[in-house]
Amino acid sequence: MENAITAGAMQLAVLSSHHFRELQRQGVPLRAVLVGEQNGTCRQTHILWLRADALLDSPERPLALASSRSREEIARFLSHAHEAAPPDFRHLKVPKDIDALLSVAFGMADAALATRAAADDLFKANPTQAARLSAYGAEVVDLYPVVAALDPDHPPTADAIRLLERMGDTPEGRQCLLLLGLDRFRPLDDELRKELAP
Amino acid sequence: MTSRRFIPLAILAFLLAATIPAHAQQERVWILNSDRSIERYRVTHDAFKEAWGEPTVDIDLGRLRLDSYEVARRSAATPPSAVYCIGSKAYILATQLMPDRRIILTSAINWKRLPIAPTRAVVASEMGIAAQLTLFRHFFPDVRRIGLVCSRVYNREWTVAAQAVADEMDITLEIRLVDHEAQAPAALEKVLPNVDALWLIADPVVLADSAASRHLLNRAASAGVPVFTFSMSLLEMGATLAITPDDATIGRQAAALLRDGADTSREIVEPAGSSIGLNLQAVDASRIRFNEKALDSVDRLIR
Repeated sequence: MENAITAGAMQLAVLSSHHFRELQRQGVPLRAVLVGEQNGTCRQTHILWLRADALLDSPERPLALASSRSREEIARFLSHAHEAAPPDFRHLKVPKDIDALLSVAFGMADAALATRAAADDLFKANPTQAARLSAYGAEVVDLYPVVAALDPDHPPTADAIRLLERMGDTPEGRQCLLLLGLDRFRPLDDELRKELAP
Repeated sequence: MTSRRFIPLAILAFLLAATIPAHAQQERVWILNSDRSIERYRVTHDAFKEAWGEPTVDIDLGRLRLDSYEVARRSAATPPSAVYCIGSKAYILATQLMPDRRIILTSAINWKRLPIAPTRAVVASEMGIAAQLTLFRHFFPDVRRIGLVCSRVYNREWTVAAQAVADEMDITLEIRLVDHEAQAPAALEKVLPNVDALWLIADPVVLADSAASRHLLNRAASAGVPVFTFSMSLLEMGATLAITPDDATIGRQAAALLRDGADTSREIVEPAGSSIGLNLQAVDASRIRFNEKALDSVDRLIR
Protein backbone atom coordinates (compact mmCIF):
# COMPACT_ATOMS: atom_id res chain seq x y z
CA MET A 1 0.00 0.00 0.00
CA GLU A 2 2.81 2.42 0.89
CA ASN A 3 4.30 1.95 -2.59
CA ALA A 4 0.98 2.71 -4.26
CA ILE A 5 0.52 5.80 -2.11
CA THR A 6 4.02 7.18 -2.57
CA ALA A 7 3.82 6.50 -6.33
CA GLY A 8 0.62 8.54 -6.44
CA ALA A 9 -1.41 5.56 -7.65
CA MET A 10 -3.56 5.69 -4.53
CA GLN A 11 -4.89 8.99 -3.22
CA LEU A 12 -7.14 7.67 -0.47
CA ALA A 13 -6.96 4.67 1.82
CA VAL A 14 -8.98 3.00 4.57
CA LEU A 15 -6.48 1.46 6.96
CA SER A 16 -6.05 0.45 10.56
CA SER A 17 -4.92 3.16 12.94
CA HIS A 18 -1.80 1.08 13.63
CA HIS A 19 -0.96 0.86 9.94
CA PHE A 20 -1.58 4.60 9.57
CA ARG A 21 0.92 5.35 12.34
CA GLU A 22 3.45 3.00 10.75
CA LEU A 23 3.17 4.86 7.43
CA GLN A 24 3.55 8.17 9.24
CA ARG A 25 6.72 6.87 10.84
CA GLN A 26 8.01 5.91 7.40
CA GLY A 27 7.41 9.49 6.24
CA VAL A 28 4.46 8.75 3.95
CA PRO A 29 2.64 12.12 3.85
CA LEU A 30 -0.85 10.83 4.57
CA ARG A 31 -3.42 12.87 6.50
CA ALA A 32 -6.18 11.13 8.44
CA VAL A 33 -9.58 12.71 7.82
CA LEU A 34 -12.25 10.26 9.00
CA VAL A 35 -12.41 7.52 11.59
CA GLY A 36 -14.76 4.57 11.90
CA GLU A 37 -17.41 4.48 14.59
CA GLN A 38 -19.47 1.68 16.06
CA ASN A 39 -22.12 1.92 18.76
CA GLY A 40 -21.30 5.60 19.27
CA THR A 41 -17.57 5.14 19.88
CA CYS A 42 -14.44 5.42 17.73
CA ARG A 43 -12.42 3.22 20.04
CA GLN A 44 -12.18 -0.55 20.21
CA THR A 45 -10.86 -2.43 23.20
CA HIS A 46 -8.51 -5.39 22.73
CA ILE A 47 -8.33 -7.91 25.54
CA LEU A 48 -6.60 -11.22 26.23
CA TRP A 49 -9.33 -13.73 27.06
CA LEU A 50 -8.34 -16.85 28.97
CA ARG A 51 -10.09 -20.14 29.48
CA ALA A 52 -10.75 -20.73 33.17
CA ASP A 53 -8.23 -23.58 33.47
CA ALA A 54 -5.54 -22.14 31.19
CA LEU A 55 -2.04 -21.75 32.59
CA LEU A 56 -0.18 -18.61 31.60
CA ASP A 57 3.19 -19.86 32.74
CA SER A 58 3.10 -23.56 32.05
CA PRO A 59 6.63 -24.96 32.06
CA GLU A 60 5.52 -27.74 29.71
CA ARG A 61 4.12 -25.80 26.80
CA PRO A 62 3.46 -22.23 25.74
CA LEU A 63 0.03 -20.70 25.76
CA ALA A 64 -2.00 -21.70 22.68
CA LEU A 65 -3.32 -18.31 21.63
CA ALA A 66 -5.94 -17.93 18.90
CA SER A 67 -6.33 -14.63 17.14
CA SER A 68 -7.08 -13.09 13.78
CA ARG A 69 -4.11 -10.77 14.27
CA SER A 70 -0.55 -11.34 13.14
CA ARG A 71 2.07 -12.76 15.49
CA GLU A 72 3.77 -9.33 15.57
CA GLU A 73 0.54 -7.59 16.58
CA ILE A 74 -0.04 -10.11 19.34
CA ALA A 75 3.51 -9.71 20.65
CA ARG A 76 3.07 -5.93 20.65
CA PHE A 77 -0.23 -6.24 22.51
CA LEU A 78 1.27 -8.55 25.11
CA SER A 79 4.23 -6.26 25.70
CA HIS A 80 1.81 -3.36 26.29
CA ALA A 81 -0.69 -5.25 28.40
CA HIS A 82 1.77 -7.45 30.30
CA GLU A 83 4.86 -5.30 30.58
CA ALA A 84 6.46 -7.25 33.40
CA ALA A 85 6.39 -10.71 31.89
CA PRO A 86 4.54 -11.24 28.63
CA PRO A 87 3.55 -14.90 28.40
CA ASP A 88 5.22 -17.17 25.87
CA PHE A 89 2.64 -18.20 23.29
CA ARG A 90 2.01 -20.42 20.31
CA HIS A 91 -0.07 -18.57 17.72
CA LEU A 92 -3.11 -20.15 16.06
CA LYS A 93 -4.23 -17.72 13.40
CA VAL A 94 -7.99 -17.80 12.77
CA PRO A 95 -10.07 -15.68 10.39
CA LYS A 96 -12.19 -13.73 12.88
CA ASP A 97 -12.40 -12.62 16.49
CA ILE A 98 -15.48 -14.75 17.09
CA ASP A 99 -13.52 -17.82 15.89
CA ALA A 100 -10.75 -17.02 18.35
CA LEU A 101 -13.21 -16.79 21.22
CA LEU A 102 -15.04 -19.96 20.19
CA SER A 103 -11.67 -21.74 20.01
CA VAL A 104 -11.10 -20.94 23.65
CA ALA A 105 -14.66 -21.74 24.70
CA PHE A 106 -14.52 -25.14 22.99
CA GLY A 107 -10.98 -26.09 23.98
CA MET A 108 -9.00 -25.63 20.75
CA ALA A 109 -6.95 -22.84 22.33
CA ASP A 110 -6.08 -21.59 25.82
CA ALA A 111 -6.46 -17.90 25.10
CA ALA A 112 -7.76 -15.46 22.53
CA LEU A 113 -6.81 -11.92 21.69
CA ALA A 114 -10.07 -10.33 20.61
CA THR A 115 -12.12 -7.19 21.06
CA ARG A 116 -14.60 -6.64 23.86
CA ALA A 117 -17.30 -6.19 21.20
CA ALA A 118 -16.65 -9.73 19.90
CA ALA A 119 -16.84 -11.14 23.43
CA ASP A 120 -20.15 -9.30 23.90
CA ASP A 121 -21.40 -10.98 20.72
CA LEU A 122 -20.42 -14.38 22.09
CA PHE A 123 -22.07 -13.60 25.41
CA LYS A 124 -25.35 -12.80 23.65
CA ALA A 125 -25.21 -15.90 21.44
CA ASN A 126 -24.00 -18.41 24.03
CA PRO A 127 -23.74 -17.05 27.59
CA THR A 128 -22.76 -20.45 29.03
CA GLN A 129 -19.66 -20.69 26.86
CA ALA A 130 -18.84 -17.01 27.24
CA ALA A 131 -18.84 -17.47 31.00
CA ARG A 132 -15.84 -19.80 30.62
CA LEU A 133 -13.73 -16.88 29.40
CA SER A 134 -12.15 -14.32 31.66
CA ALA A 135 -10.37 -11.11 30.72
CA TYR A 136 -6.73 -11.12 31.71
CA GLY A 137 -4.32 -8.23 32.10
CA ALA A 138 -4.67 -4.70 30.88
CA GLU A 139 -6.88 -3.65 28.00
CA VAL A 140 -5.41 -1.94 24.97
CA VAL A 141 -7.63 0.69 23.40
CA ASP A 142 -7.19 1.70 19.79
CA LEU A 143 -9.15 3.59 17.16
CA TYR A 144 -11.27 1.91 14.52
CA PRO A 145 -9.93 2.13 10.95
CA VAL A 146 -9.25 5.58 9.57
CA VAL A 147 -9.67 7.15 6.15
CA ALA A 148 -6.46 8.92 5.12
CA ALA A 149 -5.54 10.90 2.02
CA LEU A 150 -2.42 12.36 0.45
CA ASP A 151 -4.21 15.63 -0.34
CA PRO A 152 -7.69 15.75 1.21
CA ASP A 153 -8.41 19.12 -0.40
CA HIS A 154 -7.81 17.93 -3.94
CA PRO A 155 -11.37 18.12 -5.40
CA PRO A 156 -11.81 14.45 -6.50
CA THR A 157 -10.37 13.26 -3.20
CA ALA A 158 -12.57 15.67 -1.25
CA ASP A 159 -15.62 14.31 -3.12
CA ALA A 160 -14.65 10.74 -2.25
CA ILE A 161 -14.21 11.68 1.41
CA ARG A 162 -17.67 13.27 1.47
CA LEU A 163 -19.12 10.09 -0.07
CA LEU A 164 -17.47 7.94 2.60
CA GLU A 165 -18.79 10.24 5.32
CA ARG A 166 -22.32 9.83 3.96
CA MET A 167 -22.08 6.10 3.30
CA GLY A 168 -24.59 5.28 5.99
CA ASP A 169 -27.28 7.33 4.26
CA THR A 170 -28.04 4.61 1.70
CA PRO A 171 -28.91 0.95 2.37
CA GLU A 172 -26.05 -0.24 0.15
CA GLY A 173 -23.55 2.04 1.85
CA ARG A 174 -24.77 1.05 5.28
CA GLN A 175 -24.36 -2.61 4.35
CA CYS A 176 -20.76 -1.98 3.28
CA LEU A 177 -20.07 -0.29 6.60
CA LEU A 178 -21.58 -3.20 8.52
CA LEU A 179 -19.34 -5.61 6.61
CA LEU A 180 -16.42 -3.60 8.00
CA GLY A 181 -17.92 -3.75 11.48
CA LEU A 182 -18.73 -0.02 11.48
CA ASP A 183 -21.82 2.15 11.72
CA ARG A 184 -20.29 5.17 10.01
CA PHE A 185 -17.16 7.21 9.29
CA ARG A 186 -17.01 10.50 11.17
CA PRO A 187 -14.61 13.46 10.90
CA LEU A 188 -11.57 13.43 13.14
CA ASP A 189 -11.42 16.03 15.88
CA ASP A 190 -8.20 17.34 17.45
CA GLU A 191 -8.28 14.87 20.31
CA LEU A 192 -8.52 11.90 17.93
CA ARG A 193 -5.77 13.38 15.74
CA LYS A 194 -3.46 13.43 18.74
CA GLU A 195 -4.13 9.74 19.30
CA LEU A 196 -3.00 9.05 15.75
CA ALA A 197 0.35 10.76 16.22
CA PRO A 198 3.17 8.30 15.44
CA MET B 1 -9.46 -47.49 -3.21
CA THR B 2 -9.70 -50.29 -0.69
CA SER B 3 -7.17 -50.93 2.03
CA ARG B 4 -6.76 -54.50 0.78
CA ARG B 5 -5.03 -53.13 -2.29
CA PHE B 6 -2.24 -51.76 -0.08
CA ILE B 7 -1.31 -54.99 1.64
CA PRO B 8 1.37 -55.87 -0.95
CA LEU B 9 2.67 -52.32 -0.56
CA ALA B 10 3.12 -52.74 3.16
CA ILE B 11 5.09 -55.93 2.55
CA LEU B 12 7.18 -54.15 -0.05
CA ALA B 13 7.86 -51.27 2.34
CA PHE B 14 8.98 -53.73 4.97
CA LEU B 15 11.35 -55.48 2.57
CA LEU B 16 12.77 -52.21 1.29
CA ALA B 17 13.33 -50.92 4.82
CA ALA B 18 15.20 -54.07 5.68
CA THR B 19 17.56 -53.65 2.75
CA ILE B 20 18.34 -49.93 3.05
CA PRO B 21 21.13 -48.93 5.44
CA ALA B 22 20.03 -46.93 8.48
CA HIS B 23 22.54 -44.15 7.81
CA ALA B 24 20.71 -43.35 4.57
CA GLN B 25 17.68 -42.34 6.54
CA GLN B 26 16.94 -38.74 7.37
CA GLU B 27 13.68 -37.98 9.10
CA ARG B 28 11.43 -35.18 7.93
CA VAL B 29 7.71 -34.60 8.06
CA TRP B 30 5.89 -35.77 4.97
CA ILE B 31 2.87 -34.01 3.57
CA LEU B 32 0.86 -36.60 1.71
CA ASN B 33 -1.77 -34.76 -0.29
CA SER B 34 -4.57 -36.79 -1.90
CA ASP B 35 -4.84 -34.29 -4.74
CA ARG B 36 -3.23 -30.86 -4.63
CA SER B 37 -5.24 -29.68 -7.63
CA ILE B 38 -8.30 -29.51 -5.34
CA GLU B 39 -8.26 -25.95 -4.05
CA ARG B 40 -9.15 -26.63 -0.43
CA TYR B 41 -6.46 -29.33 -0.23
CA ARG B 42 -3.94 -26.88 -1.67
CA VAL B 43 -4.91 -24.09 0.76
CA THR B 44 -4.66 -26.48 3.71
CA HIS B 45 -1.31 -27.81 2.47
CA ASP B 46 0.22 -24.33 2.07
CA ALA B 47 -1.05 -23.15 5.46
CA PHE B 48 0.47 -26.22 7.11
CA LYS B 49 3.85 -25.57 5.50
CA GLU B 50 3.85 -21.92 6.56
CA ALA B 51 2.89 -22.78 10.14
CA TRP B 52 5.30 -25.71 10.35
CA GLY B 53 8.19 -23.59 9.13
CA GLU B 54 10.62 -26.43 8.54
CA PRO B 55 11.45 -28.35 5.36
CA THR B 56 8.96 -31.05 4.48
CA VAL B 57 8.72 -33.77 1.86
CA ASP B 58 5.64 -33.00 -0.22
CA ILE B 59 3.94 -35.78 -2.16
CA ASP B 60 0.95 -35.07 -4.36
CA LEU B 61 -0.92 -38.30 -4.99
CA GLY B 62 -3.16 -36.57 -7.52
CA ARG B 63 -0.55 -34.96 -9.74
CA LEU B 64 1.87 -37.86 -9.88
CA ARG B 65 -0.90 -40.36 -10.54
CA LEU B 66 1.42 -41.83 -8.12
CA ASP B 67 2.56 -45.25 -8.43
CA SER B 68 1.93 -46.27 -4.86
CA TYR B 69 4.97 -48.49 -4.99
CA GLU B 70 7.06 -45.36 -5.42
CA VAL B 71 5.64 -43.99 -2.17
CA ALA B 72 6.40 -47.31 -0.52
CA ARG B 73 9.95 -47.16 -1.83
CA ARG B 74 10.47 -43.61 -0.59
CA SER B 75 8.98 -44.32 2.81
CA ALA B 76 11.31 -47.26 3.20
CA ALA B 77 14.37 -45.37 1.99
CA THR B 78 13.77 -42.26 4.08
CA PRO B 79 11.09 -42.84 6.65
CA PRO B 80 9.34 -39.66 7.71
CA SER B 81 9.29 -38.52 11.32
CA ALA B 82 5.55 -38.00 10.92
CA VAL B 83 3.01 -37.85 8.12
CA TYR B 84 0.45 -35.13 7.56
CA CYS B 85 -2.31 -36.57 5.37
CA ILE B 86 -4.69 -34.35 3.46
CA GLY B 87 -7.74 -36.34 2.43
CA SER B 88 -8.66 -39.97 3.04
CA LYS B 89 -6.74 -41.41 0.07
CA ALA B 90 -3.49 -40.14 1.58
CA TYR B 91 -4.47 -41.38 5.03
CA ILE B 92 -5.27 -44.90 3.89
CA LEU B 93 -1.95 -45.12 2.10
CA ALA B 94 0.00 -43.73 5.05
CA THR B 95 -1.60 -46.06 7.57
CA GLN B 96 -0.75 -49.02 5.38
CA LEU B 97 2.84 -48.05 4.61
CA MET B 98 3.87 -46.30 7.81
CA PRO B 99 1.64 -47.57 10.60
CA ASP B 100 4.19 -46.81 13.31
CA ARG B 101 4.56 -43.13 12.39
CA ARG B 102 2.68 -40.26 13.96
CA ILE B 103 -0.10 -39.52 11.44
CA ILE B 104 -2.28 -36.40 11.31
CA LEU B 105 -5.39 -36.41 9.12
CA THR B 106 -7.42 -33.46 7.88
CA SER B 107 -9.85 -32.65 5.08
CA ALA B 108 -11.42 -36.10 4.94
CA ILE B 109 -15.20 -35.82 4.77
CA ASN B 110 -15.58 -39.47 5.75
CA TRP B 111 -13.04 -39.38 8.58
CA LYS B 112 -15.46 -40.92 11.07
CA ARG B 113 -15.53 -44.09 9.01
CA LEU B 114 -11.74 -44.40 8.95
CA PRO B 115 -9.79 -46.26 11.65
CA ILE B 116 -8.18 -43.68 13.97
CA ALA B 117 -5.67 -45.57 16.09
CA PRO B 118 -3.49 -44.15 18.87
CA THR B 119 -0.56 -42.09 17.50
CA ARG B 120 -3.03 -40.56 15.05
CA ALA B 121 -4.78 -37.24 15.22
CA VAL B 122 -7.58 -35.70 13.23
CA VAL B 123 -8.88 -32.23 12.58
CA ALA B 124 -12.56 -32.85 11.90
CA SER B 125 -14.00 -31.80 8.57
CA GLU B 126 -17.08 -30.14 9.98
CA MET B 127 -17.58 -27.36 12.48
CA GLY B 128 -18.49 -28.49 15.97
CA ILE B 129 -22.17 -28.63 16.85
CA ALA B 130 -21.88 -26.04 19.62
CA ALA B 131 -19.88 -23.65 17.44
CA GLN B 132 -22.48 -23.92 14.68
CA LEU B 133 -25.41 -23.34 17.02
CA THR B 134 -23.60 -20.37 18.57
CA LEU B 135 -22.99 -18.84 15.17
CA PHE B 136 -26.60 -19.49 14.11
CA ARG B 137 -27.73 -17.52 17.13
CA HIS B 138 -25.16 -14.80 16.48
CA PHE B 139 -26.81 -14.17 13.11
CA PHE B 140 -30.40 -14.95 14.14
CA PRO B 141 -30.68 -14.08 17.86
CA ASP B 142 -34.33 -15.14 18.18
CA VAL B 143 -33.87 -18.67 16.88
CA ARG B 144 -35.34 -21.11 19.40
CA ARG B 145 -36.63 -24.05 17.38
CA ILE B 146 -34.56 -25.61 14.61
CA GLY B 147 -35.78 -28.37 12.32
CA LEU B 148 -33.65 -31.28 11.15
CA VAL B 149 -34.46 -33.97 8.62
CA CYS B 150 -31.77 -36.61 8.38
CA SER B 151 -31.21 -40.29 7.88
CA ARG B 152 -31.49 -42.75 10.71
CA VAL B 153 -28.56 -44.81 9.46
CA TYR B 154 -26.04 -42.02 8.97
CA ASN B 155 -26.98 -39.38 11.48
CA ARG B 156 -29.00 -40.78 14.39
CA GLU B 157 -25.99 -40.68 16.72
CA TRP B 158 -25.15 -37.19 15.59
CA THR B 159 -28.69 -35.98 16.38
CA VAL B 160 -28.39 -37.33 19.93
CA ALA B 161 -25.20 -35.30 20.43
CA ALA B 162 -26.77 -32.24 18.79
CA GLN B 163 -29.83 -32.47 21.03
CA ALA B 164 -27.65 -32.46 24.14
CA VAL B 165 -25.77 -29.35 22.99
CA ALA B 166 -28.97 -27.60 21.94
CA ASP B 167 -30.55 -28.30 25.33
CA GLU B 168 -27.67 -26.41 27.00
CA MET B 169 -28.37 -23.44 24.77
CA ASP B 170 -32.11 -23.54 25.32
CA ILE B 171 -32.70 -24.43 21.68
CA THR B 172 -35.24 -27.06 20.70
CA LEU B 173 -34.34 -29.36 17.84
CA GLU B 174 -37.31 -30.72 15.93
CA ILE B 175 -35.78 -33.88 14.48
CA ARG B 176 -37.31 -36.19 11.88
CA LEU B 177 -35.30 -39.30 11.03
CA VAL B 178 -35.93 -40.97 7.69
CA ASP B 179 -34.92 -44.31 6.25
CA HIS B 180 -35.24 -43.50 2.56
CA GLU B 181 -34.81 -40.45 0.38
CA ALA B 182 -38.49 -40.63 -0.59
CA GLN B 183 -39.53 -40.01 3.03
CA ALA B 184 -37.69 -36.69 3.29
CA PRO B 185 -40.31 -34.39 1.66
CA ALA B 186 -43.08 -35.59 3.97
CA ALA B 187 -40.80 -35.29 7.02
CA LEU B 188 -39.96 -31.75 5.98
CA GLU B 189 -43.66 -30.81 5.74
CA LYS B 190 -44.13 -31.96 9.32
CA VAL B 191 -41.13 -29.96 10.54
CA LEU B 192 -41.53 -26.64 8.74
CA PRO B 193 -44.65 -25.29 10.51
CA ASN B 194 -43.04 -25.72 13.93
CA VAL B 195 -39.58 -24.23 13.52
CA ASP B 196 -37.77 -20.89 13.21
CA ALA B 197 -35.10 -22.37 10.93
CA LEU B 198 -34.15 -25.55 9.08
CA TRP B 199 -30.68 -27.05 9.54
CA LEU B 200 -29.42 -29.09 6.57
CA ILE B 201 -26.51 -31.27 7.63
CA ALA B 202 -24.34 -33.49 5.44
CA ASP B 203 -26.62 -36.44 4.79
CA PRO B 204 -26.35 -38.75 1.79
CA VAL B 205 -29.97 -39.85 2.06
CA VAL B 206 -31.79 -36.54 2.52
CA LEU B 207 -29.46 -34.61 0.20
CA ALA B 208 -29.21 -37.50 -2.24
CA ASP B 209 -28.92 -35.27 -5.31
CA SER B 210 -29.35 -31.69 -6.40
CA ALA B 211 -33.06 -32.17 -7.14
CA ALA B 212 -33.69 -33.35 -3.58
CA SER B 213 -31.65 -30.45 -2.17
CA ARG B 214 -33.49 -27.96 -4.35
CA HIS B 215 -36.85 -29.29 -3.23
CA LEU B 216 -35.95 -28.86 0.45
CA LEU B 217 -34.64 -25.35 -0.13
CA ASN B 218 -37.68 -24.30 -2.16
CA ARG B 219 -40.15 -25.61 0.40
CA ALA B 220 -38.33 -23.86 3.24
CA ALA B 221 -38.26 -20.62 1.23
CA SER B 222 -42.01 -20.88 0.57
CA ALA B 223 -42.60 -21.22 4.28
CA GLY B 224 -40.33 -18.23 5.09
CA VAL B 225 -38.02 -20.50 7.07
CA PRO B 226 -34.28 -19.70 6.79
CA VAL B 227 -31.98 -22.62 6.02
CA PHE B 228 -28.67 -23.11 7.84
CA THR B 229 -26.19 -25.42 6.20
CA PHE B 230 -22.65 -26.78 6.00
CA SER B 231 -22.17 -26.11 2.31
CA MET B 232 -21.39 -23.06 0.16
CA SER B 233 -22.97 -24.90 -2.79
CA LEU B 234 -26.27 -25.07 -0.94
CA LEU B 235 -25.88 -21.38 -0.13
CA GLU B 236 -25.68 -20.66 -3.86
CA MET B 237 -28.79 -22.79 -4.36
CA GLY B 238 -30.77 -20.66 -1.89
CA ALA B 239 -29.79 -21.59 1.66
CA THR B 240 -29.56 -18.63 4.03
CA LEU B 241 -26.42 -19.22 6.08
CA ALA B 242 -23.50 -21.57 5.45
CA ILE B 243 -20.88 -22.30 8.07
CA THR B 244 -17.88 -24.30 6.92
CA PRO B 245 -14.38 -24.79 8.34
CA ASP B 246 -11.69 -22.40 7.15
CA ASP B 247 -9.22 -24.53 5.19
CA ALA B 248 -6.12 -22.51 6.06
CA THR B 249 -6.88 -22.74 9.79
CA ILE B 250 -7.19 -26.52 9.45
CA GLY B 251 -3.65 -26.67 8.05
CA ARG B 252 -2.37 -24.52 10.93
CA GLN B 253 -4.14 -26.74 13.46
CA ALA B 254 -2.52 -29.80 11.91
CA ALA B 255 0.90 -28.17 12.37
CA ALA B 256 0.06 -27.35 15.99
CA LEU B 257 -1.06 -30.94 16.64
CA LEU B 258 2.17 -32.24 15.25
CA ARG B 259 4.29 -29.80 17.22
CA ASP B 260 2.47 -29.86 20.54
CA GLY B 261 0.46 -33.06 20.63
CA ALA B 262 1.56 -36.14 22.50
CA ASP B 263 2.92 -38.70 20.06
CA THR B 264 1.04 -41.55 21.57
CA SER B 265 -2.39 -40.15 22.14
CA ARG B 266 -5.36 -40.21 19.79
CA GLU B 267 -6.55 -36.67 19.34
CA ILE B 268 -9.60 -35.39 17.51
CA VAL B 269 -10.11 -31.65 17.40
CA GLU B 270 -12.75 -29.46 15.85
CA PRO B 271 -11.90 -26.81 13.28
CA ALA B 272 -11.02 -23.55 15.01
CA GLY B 273 -11.72 -21.21 12.11
CA SER B 274 -14.92 -20.68 10.19
CA SER B 275 -15.81 -19.53 6.72
CA ILE B 276 -19.27 -18.02 6.74
CA GLY B 277 -21.52 -17.45 3.76
CA LEU B 278 -24.74 -15.44 3.83
CA ASN B 279 -27.45 -15.15 1.22
CA LEU B 280 -29.07 -11.74 1.71
CA GLN B 281 -32.02 -12.52 -0.56
CA ALA B 282 -32.84 -15.50 1.63
CA VAL B 283 -32.38 -13.36 4.74
CA ASP B 284 -34.87 -10.81 3.43
CA ALA B 285 -37.37 -13.55 2.65
CA SER B 286 -37.20 -15.16 6.07
CA ARG B 287 -39.56 -14.38 8.93
CA ILE B 288 -37.00 -14.36 11.72
CA ARG B 289 -35.01 -11.33 12.94
CA PHE B 290 -31.51 -11.00 11.50
CA ASN B 291 -28.64 -9.39 13.45
CA GLU B 292 -27.13 -7.03 10.89
CA LYS B 293 -24.19 -6.34 13.21
CA ALA B 294 -23.05 -9.91 12.51
CA LEU B 295 -22.28 -8.95 8.91
CA ASP B 296 -18.66 -8.26 9.82
CA SER B 297 -18.23 -12.02 10.36
CA VAL B 298 -19.28 -12.86 6.82
CA ASP B 299 -16.66 -14.12 4.36
CA ARG B 300 -18.92 -14.67 1.40
CA LEU B 301 -22.00 -12.60 0.69
CA ILE B 302 -24.65 -13.35 -1.91
CA ARG B 303 -26.77 -10.29 -2.66
